[in-house]
Amino acid sequence: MSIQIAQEGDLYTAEVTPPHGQWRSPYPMRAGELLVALRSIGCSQTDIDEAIREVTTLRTRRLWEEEITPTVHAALSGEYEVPAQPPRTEALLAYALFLGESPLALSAIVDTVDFTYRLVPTPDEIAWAFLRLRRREWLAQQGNLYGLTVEGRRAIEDIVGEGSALDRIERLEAWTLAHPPPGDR
Amino acid sequence: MFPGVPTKGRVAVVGDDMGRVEAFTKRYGYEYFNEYAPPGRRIAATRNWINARMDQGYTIVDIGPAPGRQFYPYPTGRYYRVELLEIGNRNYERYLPMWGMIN
Repeated sequence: MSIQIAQEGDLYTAEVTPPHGQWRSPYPMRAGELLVALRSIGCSQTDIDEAIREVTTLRTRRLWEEEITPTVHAALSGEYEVPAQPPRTEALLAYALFLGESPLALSAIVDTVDFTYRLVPTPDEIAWAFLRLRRREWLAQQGNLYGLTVEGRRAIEDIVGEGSALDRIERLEAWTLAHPPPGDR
Repeated sequence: MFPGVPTKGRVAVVGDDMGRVEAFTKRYGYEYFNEYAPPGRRIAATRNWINARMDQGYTIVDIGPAPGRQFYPYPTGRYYRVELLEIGNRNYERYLPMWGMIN
């Protein structure tokens, strides 16, 4: 990486090293101001995007490690009883798993939900959705990676059909509402 | 649209939580982000989408952060923040923030 961005509260600093040049932000800046500064010294948007992705991943990794992962593990092992969550949550998480071609880390699953639905699910929402998917025998777990069983993927493929992401999520939500998982009736 | 707000008929809506955004847009027939991109292309896809709307002179209605989410009253989602950054960077004149008005 030739652009290194660091976050300090709501402000950011950056250091640019060759081949992009030699530059250091003179003071902590707001995100928009830093973007303008990086563009003004000739950094490409692709490289800026990558640097932003790195810093936001670092920031959220602590959240995964300290809050989300323990909650999901505790819920799946029966040590924590998750309160009921909004019904659409199951469809959002199921669709994110459906889009992953292989088992995914929680951070990747959350990123997909955020991208497709502009919503960052809470630890309880993730855990609640995973429990429901497991009761349907749709959830496959490999350590800290999560995916769909063959049956789950096939079922979701039939339910969502073709169309935009939001149309498909809407169909999946309608189906999950009409077909509660075993033990939920 | 709201009386007195010129839109030239083209409006895109942004905000945390597509459930809110979609409900709002369906009432008026506005546009909203509804695309897919693989990991690694998502920031660029988001940036391209919002910039394309601004290039075409859309009015951008921003219904703001979703009540009850993690960082409320600030934005929670990464991709919504990318949209806000792009709008702010251009100091876009057809930007209509409606934070706190839509649950």
